[in-house]
Order: sequence, then structure tokens, then C-alpha cells
Amino acid sequence: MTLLSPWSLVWLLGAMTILGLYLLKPRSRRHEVSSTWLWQGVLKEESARSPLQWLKRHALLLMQVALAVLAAFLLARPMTERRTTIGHQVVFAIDASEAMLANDGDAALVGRTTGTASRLEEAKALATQYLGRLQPGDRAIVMAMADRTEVAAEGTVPGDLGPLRAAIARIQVRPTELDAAHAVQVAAGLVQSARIGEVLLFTGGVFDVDAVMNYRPPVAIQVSRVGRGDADNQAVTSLAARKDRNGDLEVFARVRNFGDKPASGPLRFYVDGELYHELNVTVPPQLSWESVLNEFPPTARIVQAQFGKADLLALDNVATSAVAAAPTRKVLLVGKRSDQLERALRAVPGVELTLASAQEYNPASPYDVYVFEGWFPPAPPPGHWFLLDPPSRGSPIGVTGTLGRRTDGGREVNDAQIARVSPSPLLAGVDLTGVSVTEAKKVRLPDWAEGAVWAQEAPLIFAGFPASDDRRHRAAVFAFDPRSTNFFGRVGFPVLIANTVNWLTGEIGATRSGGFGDVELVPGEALLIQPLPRASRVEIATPAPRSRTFSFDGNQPVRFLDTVVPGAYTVTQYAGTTEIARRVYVAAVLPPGRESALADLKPRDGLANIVTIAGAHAQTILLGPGFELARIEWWRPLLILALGLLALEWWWYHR
Amino acid sequence: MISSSDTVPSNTTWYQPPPGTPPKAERAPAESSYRHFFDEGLMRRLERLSVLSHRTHGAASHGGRRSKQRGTSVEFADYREYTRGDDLRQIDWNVYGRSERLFVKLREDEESLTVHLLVDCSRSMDFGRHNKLQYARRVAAALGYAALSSQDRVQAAGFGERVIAHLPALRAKGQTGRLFNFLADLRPTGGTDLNAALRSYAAMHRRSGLVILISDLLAPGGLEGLSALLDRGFEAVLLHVLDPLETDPDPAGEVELYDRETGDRLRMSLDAPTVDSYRARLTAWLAETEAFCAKRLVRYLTVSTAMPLDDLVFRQLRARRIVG
Repeated sequence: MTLLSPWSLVWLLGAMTILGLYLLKPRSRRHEVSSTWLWQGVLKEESARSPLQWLKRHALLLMQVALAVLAAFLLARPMTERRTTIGHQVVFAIDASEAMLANDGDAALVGRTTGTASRLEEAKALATQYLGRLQPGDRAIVMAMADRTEVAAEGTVPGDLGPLRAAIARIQVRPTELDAAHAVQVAAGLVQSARIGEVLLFTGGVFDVDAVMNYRPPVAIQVSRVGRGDADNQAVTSLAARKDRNGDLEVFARVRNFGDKPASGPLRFYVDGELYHELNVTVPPQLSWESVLNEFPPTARIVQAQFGKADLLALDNVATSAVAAAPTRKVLLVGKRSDQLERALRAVPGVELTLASAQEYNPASPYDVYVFEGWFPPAPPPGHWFLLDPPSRGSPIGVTGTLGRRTDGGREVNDAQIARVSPSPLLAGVDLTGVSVTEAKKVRLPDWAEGAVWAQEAPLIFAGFPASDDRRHRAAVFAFDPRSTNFFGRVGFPVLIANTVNWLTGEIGATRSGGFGDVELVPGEALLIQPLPRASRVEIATPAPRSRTFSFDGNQPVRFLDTVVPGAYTVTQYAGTTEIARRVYVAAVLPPGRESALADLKPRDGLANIVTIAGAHAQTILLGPGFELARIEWWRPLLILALGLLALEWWWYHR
Repeated sequence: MISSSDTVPSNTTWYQPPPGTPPKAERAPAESSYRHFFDEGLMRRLERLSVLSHRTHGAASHGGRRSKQRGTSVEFADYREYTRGDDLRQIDWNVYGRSERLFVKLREDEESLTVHLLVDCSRSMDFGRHNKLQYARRVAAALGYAALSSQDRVQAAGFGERVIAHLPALRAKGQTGRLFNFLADLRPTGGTDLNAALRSYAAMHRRSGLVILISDLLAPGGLEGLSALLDRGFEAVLLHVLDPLETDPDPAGEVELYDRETGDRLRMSLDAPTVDSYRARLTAWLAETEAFCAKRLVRYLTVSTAMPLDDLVFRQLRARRIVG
């Protein structure tokens, strides 16, 4: 037995104090008798039972001293140590990224005598084997990791072995890149609180080891590499289709050979699902073949390229590209003041511009964007609106005055000048350096808007959703007349107008890169669609060959999540039965070559393929028996004993 | 006044009134002294009582008590045939005339009994819910008054480790005041040596009588002293006075017992088992004492101070034929 706080035994002086007080206090009450002669005989009889009598006579003292000793002992925190087994907490992190589809897995391990096995199958077989080696009481967490990490199951051995095995078996490849650093971070977080925690990483090895090492996980990470590490893989790493200035379609394709030998095979091009062109391609080892192809039909919407040679990974042999085409957006310009604004609007791809005076304005005519210059209708329009130079009266925003050049204390100042700029999608690619505003309306920034460009005292450009409970309509305001600026002659003006129109119509922010015309997304990533104001219905068609069409209400933003399958997702908007916009979003397999470079693998070498790559306790042996010296503090029984003694003393005293 | 036939040891202190006591002539009359011990009603009842002796004691003087000895008093008792040596004056010539046989008249000898009242004055007697010494003084006064009323001689003494005070023989009822004053003046003094005191008393008195010993007997050494009295022909009555505090003590917890008599201290845990043990010991002691007395024809009675005096005298003592 060890005392954690031996100095607390000083409190034993308390027992000495009790003894001292006992000695000092008047022993007992004086009780007068006529003679002690008879009592002496009784005392002699008592003396025959003296130990018991002595104890009875000094019971209170003994109990108090014992209590003091117990209290001192309690404060000294006595404890013993006992060797106990403790359970591991093991995370089985199985790589489910695209590269795990490579068919250089260990078929024998999977249980096949013939044929091939994928790396994922080998990883699942290995994980199942290790799962069987866990000791009773160990806890296991099964995790599938790709671009994001998901916990498939967790449980304790042996009770939950069945569900854990089933969870391993259910893991499927997600055609995405492995974010190993994130996966390790999640796994380490899951076991960090465990006394013995390990992370077993089953992977094909195609990940950024440096990122993991930089993270320096606080637990032992064991990496089990799967797959033979063959390099025979080719991929269509790039495919782009666009129309040139003459409206002809150009297709750029690149095929990369990640293998160590030259690869030859047919490269087939499909246009809108139909085979259109085929050519034989030979790609030297570790090099690429690339070419720009013309002579594609100008009406093509989706172009797909497929390299026909059988290799380790079939998924990256196909690439899809959508022909970049902006949606058609109807824009009404009311109260035109200058040609520059009209030209800038017409330059926005997909914009069909209509001009009207304030008198001709008819809200019943549907437009996607209403542009007002110096005038605003009595009621907000039924679509997005863009107001330049808001009028002092009848404006949807409060105009409190004007900004501009004036003399202040004999010094000429211009409080309409641009003072600061906030990050905003309206300003993407816009350089405001040197832009001068000579006159502007002094307005208060509405609650619904966010400022983009500011003068000293008031916003100059701002945008937002005017109806807070209805985010369907957007609005942008320029608090100045463009003619009062030197912006007209600059390149940035049409870009600013284009950004504004694109933001109003939802073209900015629809995809992850946020730029107009960028229609790629990562498989599994949500597809966000802001329907045009006129749209009443949105249809999304998923990629071939299992193409399905989903229909949504066109009156609200659409968030489409079923984008796991790589390929083209065609989004069509309808106003009634009329198609008003069609767009193709391509769930591109991967950034070029990340998961296709299968040759990054190290050769297999038995158990040596299990390596610890990091961890504060890297010496922790994989799945070995876990022991610890359990510290058992005795304060609980001692406290109970002390309380019992206290109760006994109380009872004895009042007896 | 001391009987001329008594021999008194030289170290005996004769009764002297305590310092400050008024001269004899100035003392209160006997009629007022009794109020220290009982009321007038009880006194009147005591006058009709006499102390009973179960034996005859040599009569130095005639008293009011019929002796079993045939004597020379005028009270006729019986006839017997004349034998040589009989007093010719006792021949009943009338009987001779009728029967021509010589008979002598036998007459009862009227004996005067000497009652010795021995009161334990040790400090242990100065104890109790009803003070034992006071109780003993009242009992002695009652028995003495009854004896004097029936023309018996009464002597009294107080003793502790020895005889510490002695009242010479009183012969008349008119001397009851002296008895009451003597008893009233007895003070608790010193320890107890019963045997020494009794031997000393026996040596002091050649003439036997009835000794009434009133004591708590709380002293080691037993009652062997009684033998000295019995051997001298004394008849003995032992009134064992105990207070309820002694016969039935309360469990008082952790105490230091203080001996009233010796000043000894004894630390004890006075819990229920200890008290039970004490009671058992007391009972055994009382039984042992009673057996001792029975063996020596000593009339023994345990007296509780809680018992009213008239109850003791007219019921308990009468039942034991100590008074009648």
C-alpha cells in the first residue's frame, strides 16, 4: 500500500490532541456512596472481565482516536496498485477512394483461387482478419474514408463482431480522392480518449503522406498497404469541350500512361451518348498523349472520351465534358441613360436584353432581371432587380442625401469617393484602383443587403435578398449614376455588370469554384441550383447508363445530393412546358491523375507492410495485450468505515 | 449514672453534651425532646409497647417484667412439694390443713430488663435519601421510650471504630429526655470497626440484657464482635439499616465512586450489568448476615429507611416479636 499524500499523516497529531484532551478533562462524575466496600467486590468481578470492561469504559476515546487516525489516513490517500487488462480501442480505417478499385488486390486473401481482387476487397479481408484478433473487451470502430470520412459501425468484441464484419463488407468505393489527413484526424479523434487507442489504416497508399505526417496524430497509426503496387494504369486525365469564336466545337483530350510500359488502345469519343469518333492511341510509359479535335457537331452538349485498353483501374479510363453554354436570361433595362450600360449588359453571355421606358414598364411581362436606372416602380418587380442611381423618392431604399464634391472649411473634398471594398462575388475580377466617383446618393444600407463598395459615410454598391423570408429574389444597387464615374471607360465595368447579372441569376455560387461556366463538381458533392425566376420546374438527369430524372419545384433553390456517380448531370429548367434553360454539370472523376498513379505503392513485404508512420506512442504494439497498473484508492471504504464509526460513537454517547 | 456492677474501660468516652449544649437544668424537658424523633401520637402508642426479651436475665433489681424465674414477689405462680432446704416461710399451711401435705408457694420473680441501644455513628450512616443515622436515632428513641415506659432499664451508646459515646442506664420514664438528648447529639464520626466496638461494649457491661444493634454493617470484618456480647449472656437484636440508594442504585454511567466513610475513590462504569452485579452481591451479603444471625439466635431484620417508623415498630418489629 502506498500513500499518495504521506504528509497528510501529520493529521495524526489530531489523535494525540484527542488523547491529551481526554487526559485533561475531568475523568468522571463524582458519585457519593455510603461505602465502597461492596463496590470493591463488584469491581473485582469486573476486573475478571477487564479487557472487555476496559474497552467499554474507554470506548468513546478509542472511537474518537480511531476516527482521527482514519481521517488522517484518508487524507494521506492510501492506494494499492493492481495489474489489470484493459481493452483497446481500434479504428479500422478502410480506404474507399477511387484507387481502391484497382484490381491488383490479393485474390487468395479474399478467398478466390482464380481471377483478380480489388484493393478494397483485400483491405476488407485484412480488416476482417485483424478484427478477429481483437481481445474480448476491445472496442472497434469501422471507418470508410475517401474525400470524406464516415463511421460505418462501432462495437465491442466479441458481442458486436457480427455487425462490425457486416459493416466492413458493406463498404463501397466512392470515386473520389482520398483525404488521408482528414481521415487520420477523425480516426485519431475517435481513439484519443481511449487509454490504448490505435488506428489501422488499410489503404492502397495513394495519398499525401506528408499531409498526414504534418498533422502528427497523437495516437499510434498503423498503415496496412494493400495491392501489389502494379503500375499498369492509364487514364483520360483531361477532356474539355468548348466552342470557338466561330461557334465550332473543339474537344481537348489527354490520356496519361502511369505504367512502366507503352500502352496502346482505342480512344473513343461519344457525343450526347452516341459513338462519334474513334482513334488508336499509343502512350509511352509515364507520359501523356494529348490532342485537340475538331469536327464535332456544334449542337453537341456532352462529350465523353473512353480509353479502351484494359488496365488495373477502369474507372479513370472514362472522362466526360459538358459543352460550355451559358443559360439564356431575359433582362429588361428600364430608363436607359447611356449606351455603355446597354453594351455591358448585352456582353453578358446568355443575356437577352429588352429596353423599355418607365412608362412602358409592365410588371406582368416576365423577365429574369429588371434593371432600373434612376427610377423604380411603385411595387418591386416579380424577378431579380438591379437599381442604378436610386431616385430620391419612390426608392425601395432610403436616400438621405447626396455625396460628392463640396467645400469643407475652405478645402475641397469629395465624400463620394470609394473608401473601402468588402469581399463580394460582384467584385470578382474587378479592379477598382483609380476609379473615381464624383457624385452619388447617400443611402442607408438596408438590413437585407451586404455592402461591397463603400464611400466614407455610405455604401456605394451593395446586394442581397430584399425579402428576408423569401430568398428567391435578389437585388443589387449601385448608389451612383455610372456616368458620374470614370468607370465607363475601364475593362472592369462590363465585368462588374456581368458579375452582377450572374449573381442575380444564381450563376455565381452554383458550383464549388463559383465562377460562371465552371460546371464541374466532385462526385458526391451537392449540386446547388438557383432556378431562374421564371422557372416553374427543374429536372435533373443523372449520368448514363443508369440515367434517372428527378423533378423539383422551380420556385425554390434545389440542393441535389445524389452525385456519387461520375458523369454528366443535366439540369433543365422549365417555365410551364417551355424549356428555358439547360445546363450540364459534370461530376469529374478526379483532378488529373491523383488516384490513377497506382505505382506510388511500395512493394508488399509480408507484415513489414504494417508501419507506424506517426503517433506519440508509436511503440504500442498492434493488437497486443493491454495491461495497466490500476490504481485503487481506498478512500471509499475508509470513508464508509469512518462514517460508521461516527454513527457508532454518536449512538454510544447518547446510549 | 453508671451501674456499680459495670466495669468500664478507661478509654471509653462517657457521654458529654456537645460544646455549646446548655446545662442540664436549662435543657428542654423530655416532652419537647421527643419531637426530634416522632410525634405525640406515636409516643402515646409507644407507651403501650414493651421491648420483648426471649430470655431471662439476672435481675439485680425488681422491675415491671415477669421473669421465668420463680422469685419472691407477691405474685403467686404455682405450688410444689416441700423439699428439705426450702424456706419454711414459704410453706402454705392452709393447703397442709386440707391435704396434710407440705407445699411451698412459688411466686413469679418480677425482672427488670436492661435494653442496650447501640447506634452506629460511622460516616457511612450519614448517607441516604433518608439519612440512615437519623433513621437509626428515631428507631433507638422509639425502642428506648417503649422500654422506659415498661419500666425497663435503658442504656445507649454510639459507636464507630469504637464506642464513642455512652449513656448510663436510665431506669424511669422520667429520664426519657436524657435518652432523646443523647440520641439527638450523636454525630457521624469516623469509620466503622463493629467487632472492636462490640467487644469493647461487652467488656464494659458485666450484666447482660437485650442489645439492639442499629447499624448498616458496611465494614469488612463480619459480625464476630456479636459473639463477645452473646458469650456474656446478652440477647441481641440486629436492625440492619439500609437506604434505597444502597439497595437499588441507579446506573449512573462513568463515575468515580466516593466513599463517604473513608474518602476512598473508585472509578467505575456504573452501567446496568455492574448495578446488577452489585445487587447480587448485596443480596448475598444480606443472606449471609441473616444466616449468621439465625445461627446465633440473633433476631435480624433488614430495615429500609424508606419505611415509616410506625410501620417498622408496630408491624415489622412486632411481627418479629422484638416489641410487643
